[in-house]
Amino acid sequence: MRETDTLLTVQGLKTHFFAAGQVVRAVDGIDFTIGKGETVGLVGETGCGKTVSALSVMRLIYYPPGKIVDGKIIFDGQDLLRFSERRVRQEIRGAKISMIFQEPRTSMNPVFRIGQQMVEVIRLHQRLSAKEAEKKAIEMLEHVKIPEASRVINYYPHELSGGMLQRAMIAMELSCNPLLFIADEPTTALDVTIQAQILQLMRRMQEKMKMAILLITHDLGVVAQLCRKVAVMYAGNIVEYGSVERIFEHPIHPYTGALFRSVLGLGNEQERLDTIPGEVPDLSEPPPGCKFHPRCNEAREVCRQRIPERVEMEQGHYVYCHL
Amino acid sequence: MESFGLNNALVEIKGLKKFFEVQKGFFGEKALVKAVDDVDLTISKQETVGLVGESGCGKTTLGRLILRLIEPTEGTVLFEGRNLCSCQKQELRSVRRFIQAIFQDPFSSLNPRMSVGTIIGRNMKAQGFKLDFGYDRYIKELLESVGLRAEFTDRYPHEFSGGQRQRIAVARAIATRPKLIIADEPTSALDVSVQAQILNLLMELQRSHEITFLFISHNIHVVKHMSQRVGVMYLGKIVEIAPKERLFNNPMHPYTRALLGSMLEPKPTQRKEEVPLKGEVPSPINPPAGCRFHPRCNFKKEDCSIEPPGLVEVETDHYVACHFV
Repeated sequence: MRETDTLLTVQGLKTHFFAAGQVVRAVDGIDFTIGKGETVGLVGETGCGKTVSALSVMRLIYYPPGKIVDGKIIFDGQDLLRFSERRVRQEIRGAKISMIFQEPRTSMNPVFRIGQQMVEVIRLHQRLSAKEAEKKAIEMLEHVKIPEASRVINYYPHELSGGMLQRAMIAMELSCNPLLFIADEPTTALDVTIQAQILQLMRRMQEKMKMAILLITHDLGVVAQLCRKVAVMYAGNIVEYGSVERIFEHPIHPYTGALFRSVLGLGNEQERLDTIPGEVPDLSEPPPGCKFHPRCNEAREVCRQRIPERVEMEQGHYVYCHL
Repeated sequence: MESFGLNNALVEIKGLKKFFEVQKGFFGEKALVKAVDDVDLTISKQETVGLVGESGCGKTTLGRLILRLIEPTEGTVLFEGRNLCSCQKQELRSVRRFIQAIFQDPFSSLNPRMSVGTIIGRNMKAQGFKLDFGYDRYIKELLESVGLRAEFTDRYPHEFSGGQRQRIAVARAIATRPKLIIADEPTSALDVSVQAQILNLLMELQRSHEITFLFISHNIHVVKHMSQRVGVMYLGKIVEIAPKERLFNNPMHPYTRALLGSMLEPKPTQRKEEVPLKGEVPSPINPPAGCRFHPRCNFKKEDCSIEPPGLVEVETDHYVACHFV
């Protein structure tokens, strides 16, 4: 990929949490890039560091207890880690990078009307009068197909259903034309028929606004539907990164393979499902070498001793494994 | 109405209704939420019946009614021929031993102040399950049978991961040697690799302990994997029920088709561009008249908003509640 097409480059990012005399290595040296207008999925099981990676990019890690201890986050040519908090708030967060979360009900303030909350965001980043900002808010709600948008801006969050509220969140976060849109489990709290609607909406909004999307999810079905590239995380590291087609058809890392075999609906029709033995390691005392080796069927001596380096299998398909 | 030999039926539900009274607004009128509305269902011995549907369709309420954790408004639940809805306390307790439950969230279904041994032992004592030999040994064997270590009896729930906790909940459920287990979203709070472990465990136990399951989940993939027969619920009613293969290969109710159409295949080559179902589930307070699905249905005709369709057998054991099948 040419430099000019790259929107976000994360290099050697380490975000650790310091609590009770322990260091939890939630994100432990990850690299990935997102091109302009590209959709990248970040998948993995609970506690693998997906959300912390995204919060690091948003500079939403606060000390104590969390701290970005190493690495670079180059966004649109600038290193975000060198920005002051004030500058991040004015120029980046909510403006060039915005984010939605799993539970829209906890992301909105319950005591303010939807419109008030949207106007606040819009006026923070754009020079608009209150009237113009309100007009913009209604326009955005119409874009996300909320019926009777001019009435809905006067609603309080509890008056909308989960699906409608997630639409409103998307409208709010896209109102400043971000370059990067981070969606953290955007459909996990929703029913399947509503999930299908929200995914379609995200796809349409992307066609219209051309922003890049970083989609965080544990649901491989959602990734397959929406993403072009996918990064698989395990215990604070990316273990495999590449195009969705490559990784879904030819997973190389043993963890990716095992994860796919335990998912229903991927042609795993046999009665007994394959499982990954054991459990995710404690990230305050991760195993030495490759963190997956205690659960890996193919682990060798070298896996116990050395952290695997990045290997490029073919163009754009990277694997972190000794095998 | 279903063609299962009477001897074979473990549970027979007839005309079961549960209405909750709610107040609309602060001083508003009272209204009825029809959570479960006139449901008939038969579960045969050693069968797994799956129930799918979106949130608020009444699948959990139905499970709780069978356990009689809540009182039905109308209707009967026969368990081995005995009507659970009219049982007195004493009698209910003696039957309940045979009906156990596993819930979604293993973080709230286990008492954090009790050791694992106490959690399992208390349940057995409360259900009047007596043993000739020591409870300790029995509980240790139980833990081993669900893939945990015997010495875990003295530990407390917070020391375990989600998957291990769900195993403890399974051990508690099978401790009284039940005939029926109501599994309400048992893997929804778990990661996929752990979900697979628990599903395997439930299937093994079903075989070794001859257990019948009512498997409730919003996850269609999981229900398909676990069940022999699958029922689809919408706004308090079963709209379609059939053996698994028939339901998935030949779904007939428009809602079932839409629901199966929204399943996301984890295959990047099969992207869905079209949304199968527009709109949202209407409020169960004053649900639409006639067929409850008609406001969202693409095939609706005039009749649909007037006459509620009943379940009709369209092929062997395949029942559909729709005017146009």
